[in-house]
Amino acid sequence: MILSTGNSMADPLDRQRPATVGGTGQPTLMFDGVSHAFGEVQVLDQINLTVEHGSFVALVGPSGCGKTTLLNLAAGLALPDTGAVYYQGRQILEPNTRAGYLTQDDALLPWRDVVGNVALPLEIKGIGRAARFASAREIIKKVGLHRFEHHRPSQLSGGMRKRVSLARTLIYKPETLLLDEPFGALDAQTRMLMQKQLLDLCREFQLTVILVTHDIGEAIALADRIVVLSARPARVIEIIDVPHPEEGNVFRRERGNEELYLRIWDQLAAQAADTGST
Amino acid sequence: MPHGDGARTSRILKDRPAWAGARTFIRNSVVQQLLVFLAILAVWQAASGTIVNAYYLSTPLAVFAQIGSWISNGTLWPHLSATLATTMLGFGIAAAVALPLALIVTDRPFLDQTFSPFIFAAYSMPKIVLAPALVVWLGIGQLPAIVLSAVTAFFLIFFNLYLGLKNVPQIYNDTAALMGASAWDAALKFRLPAASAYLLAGIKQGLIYAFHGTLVGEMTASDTGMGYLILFAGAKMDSTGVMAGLCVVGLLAVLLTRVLTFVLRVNDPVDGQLHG
Repeated sequence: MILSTGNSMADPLDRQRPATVGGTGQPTLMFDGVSHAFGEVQVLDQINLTVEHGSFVALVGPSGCGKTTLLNLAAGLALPDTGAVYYQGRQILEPNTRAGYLTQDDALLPWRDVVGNVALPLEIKGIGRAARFASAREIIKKVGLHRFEHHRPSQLSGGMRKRVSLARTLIYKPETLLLDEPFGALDAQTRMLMQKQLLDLCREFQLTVILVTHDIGEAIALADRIVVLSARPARVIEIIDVPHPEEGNVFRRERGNEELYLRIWDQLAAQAADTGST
Repeated sequence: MPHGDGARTSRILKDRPAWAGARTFIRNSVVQQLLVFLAILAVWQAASGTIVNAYYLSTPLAVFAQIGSWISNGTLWPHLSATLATTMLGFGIAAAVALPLALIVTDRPFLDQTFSPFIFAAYSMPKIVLAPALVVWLGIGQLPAIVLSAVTAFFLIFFNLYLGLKNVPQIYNDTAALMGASAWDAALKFRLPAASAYLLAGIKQGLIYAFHGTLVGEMTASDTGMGYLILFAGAKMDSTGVMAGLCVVGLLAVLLTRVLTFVLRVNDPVDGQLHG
């Protein structure tokens, strides 16, 4: 299996269960008994989760349940109160520079143009101006923004800014992508185009992806596995395999799994009813 | 004079009267400002010797004559250049210390918590009261003026930049960290440009306050500079000399801000090369 899990109430041996199918069997990311609180508010409760190399995992859960916190822990922007997070076998104790993190709000620098923003990670690595600009132009072309190289973020639409962020994340060739509701604020059409683009890029770069989303349809369309989280404090409720006989077409991938959609929807609705939150 | 809109439009479009050019000229804001300035001079000239004793207030004409003679007999330039040099030096020192210090303090929570209260306490204290102490420590000359200028400017630059850096959105710091940026890169490529509006405000205020500090320093313990020139005239009960000195200082202050505004606009950190 690509992904294994347990929670405080599950069999503690669960996470020792060997992985059998999918990916390479190598765990890219592992949450080991992770709990986290912000002051009095407990957001994560004993999360055990293994994401294996080459898999595409979606995290769904009621809003405010701690999904973003999970990504922040994976990115090393925060350390868990208890438990540990491992990236490729090594405990994460500082910002994880090997995973590309696409945050909910784009973090583009408004004083730089598109090329300047996309080339920034290479600039930080000390790569020469000509070389980094060449790489930046190449990847900007890949996300279809070559006509906007010298625009500033403020001159671009929301979807374009997301693509610039994605290009900037991909330029340092991360093995893993952490995506936090990347397409949430986009209109339906742009979202579908970007979802397709993301799938293509994942295949091309052989990325391991962890996607946080509130959109069940998006999770079904994109992911191999869906992790359903409970309301705060988040526990893993269920892990669902998504069958994808139809490759490529995002729309068909989503529509081919109506029953799954309803099942996850019911689970989330139950969670929301549990806590009285929406 | 009542007239319809149609009449007004047609008159503007067809035949503008001869005085239309004069009216546009008067409506120009620079011309208006100049007129106000001339009016003040006129009132001053008229009031002096009639309402107020000319001994206290002098007259614009006498002041211009005084400035003219200062220029022609070579008195003005040494004082003017000393004040300018001291201001620039004080400002330069203040900026050179405040910039890295603000960057370091805001980057280290420990330093921030330990030292910020002291810096804020010193910020709210009026720095010009240091002048007598500086004379005791540094003697008479331009040195106490330079130090006073630097100290006064330092707090403004530091304080503004400190606020700016504390307000840098966390996402920029996170992005820098995830890219593996060094402290140097994080400061130069993320934090400083993100705080540039505050930095510019600090630089503007810092320069003006460096100028203030310089004048106070020169008044306290110097034998050169515009501050000294004004104080010296005052000591001789020479109201014309005092007013002439004030006019030069006022002109200099306007000039400084104008030049600075121009320079900062050219090097707009968002559009310019400052943070390429």
